[in-house]
Amino acid sequence: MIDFGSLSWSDLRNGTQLQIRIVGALMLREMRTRFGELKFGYAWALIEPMVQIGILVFIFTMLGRRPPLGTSYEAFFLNGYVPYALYTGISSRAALAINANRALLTFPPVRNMDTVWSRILLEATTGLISLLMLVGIFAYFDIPVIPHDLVSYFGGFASVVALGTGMGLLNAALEPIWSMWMILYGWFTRFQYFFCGIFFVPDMMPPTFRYYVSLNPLSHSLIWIREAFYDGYDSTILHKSFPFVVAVILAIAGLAVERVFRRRVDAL
Amino acid sequence: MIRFENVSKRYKLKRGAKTILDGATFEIPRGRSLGVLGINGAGKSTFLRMISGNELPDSGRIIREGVTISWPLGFAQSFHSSLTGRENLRFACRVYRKNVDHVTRYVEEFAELGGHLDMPVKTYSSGMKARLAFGLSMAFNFDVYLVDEITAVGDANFRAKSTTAFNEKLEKSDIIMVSHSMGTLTTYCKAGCVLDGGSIRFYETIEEAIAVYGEITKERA
Repeated sequence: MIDFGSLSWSDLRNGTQLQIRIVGALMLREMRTRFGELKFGYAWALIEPMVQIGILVFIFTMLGRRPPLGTSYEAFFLNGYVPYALYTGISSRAALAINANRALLTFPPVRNMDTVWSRILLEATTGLISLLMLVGIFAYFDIPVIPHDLVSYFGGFASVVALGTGMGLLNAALEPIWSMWMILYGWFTRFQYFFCGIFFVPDMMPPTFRYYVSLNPLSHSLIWIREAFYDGYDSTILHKSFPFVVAVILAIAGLAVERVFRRRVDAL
Repeated sequence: MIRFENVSKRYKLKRGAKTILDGATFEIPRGRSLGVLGINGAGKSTFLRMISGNELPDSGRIIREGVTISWPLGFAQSFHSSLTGRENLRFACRVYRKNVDHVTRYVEEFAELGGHLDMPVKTYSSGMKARLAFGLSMAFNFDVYLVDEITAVGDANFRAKSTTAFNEKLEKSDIIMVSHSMGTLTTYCKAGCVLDGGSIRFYETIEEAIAVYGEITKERA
């Protein structure tokens, strides 16, 4: 039983204000080292996805294929790789937030989960800003990257952020107490790269394969984003609520594990 | 007010467990400085970390009302190694809602780091880190300072300056201090407490506490 004792609304309000201030301070501190000692700093948030998309476009063009949707491979991979990278970025960087800020936890107002939330918020913001800038850059070079249904498009990205957050909270909770977990997560992430749907459209795949892909919440986010992007593509397997439901389950699991093992992690 | 209510805290070891507090209820006396005594492993540092809120008790609760409490000053490294000294100060000011310029100016003068203040903390010597940390804690006015085995750093000049700053603090603030040096404890503390086998006992004078602690060490020897 949790004893709330004499916890009042004003305690709750003060606590929330304190946490917002701490998370804000941590975000500013994370920005400083997000790209380490690299030159150009934040430009890497644009360079990295551009290189990745460039490589994929090059390979698939060399293979002499035509994109499964639309006319541009650049647009196709932009709407596949960027959400994948956003999900991976949030979930993997949240995992190591506590360890990376160990020294700052000496200040008692700074608690473990503040470091995790600050990384989640920073990764989500960085990812979405770099998406907007990529769209701007591609559009400048006359690549058709303006989504057909803008509202739904951002809904799709919101589901990616939700999934990354849920997975990130679980990672952050498990990483300090179960060293095997991050190895498993690494395998899972590599699996996601090939099977979440960066390279293909699940609706065009054989039924068995399509069934397995439909069990992956991240695939639903990618389908959602492409459905909103392309006029005339309507997926038969998309459930927009699925990634959100999984995200909530992951987040609750992560927060519960963190609470149960908090004493042990604090003492590390 | 710093009050422990029915607080239990245990440590798991490879074999068995160590009990630091076992259902202890007490209020930490204010208005005088407190020396914390106990044999190695009795949990003196953990006791400080529970007061500051760095560690949670296993059960019970710790109530802090109307007091500002420092982080435990001592061995623990409180700076991010990739950030410069100045950036670390800025972070601490944001956390504690202090004026960045004031604090930076104070620490700049106090810690005598010169140009190093704009270098990453990982390039600092341990003495420089200690000076930065000590300067920062002096720049903030806490009601209660927690001191865990602080050792003298720097040259004679810096030590003299530290002692002066610390004594000034003592006029307005309390300290709760862990030290193996009885000399240090008698210099800074009026009252004392002894942690032993899961219970804690408070004494009006540090001399009394040291005497009791002496008995315990003799018994164990």
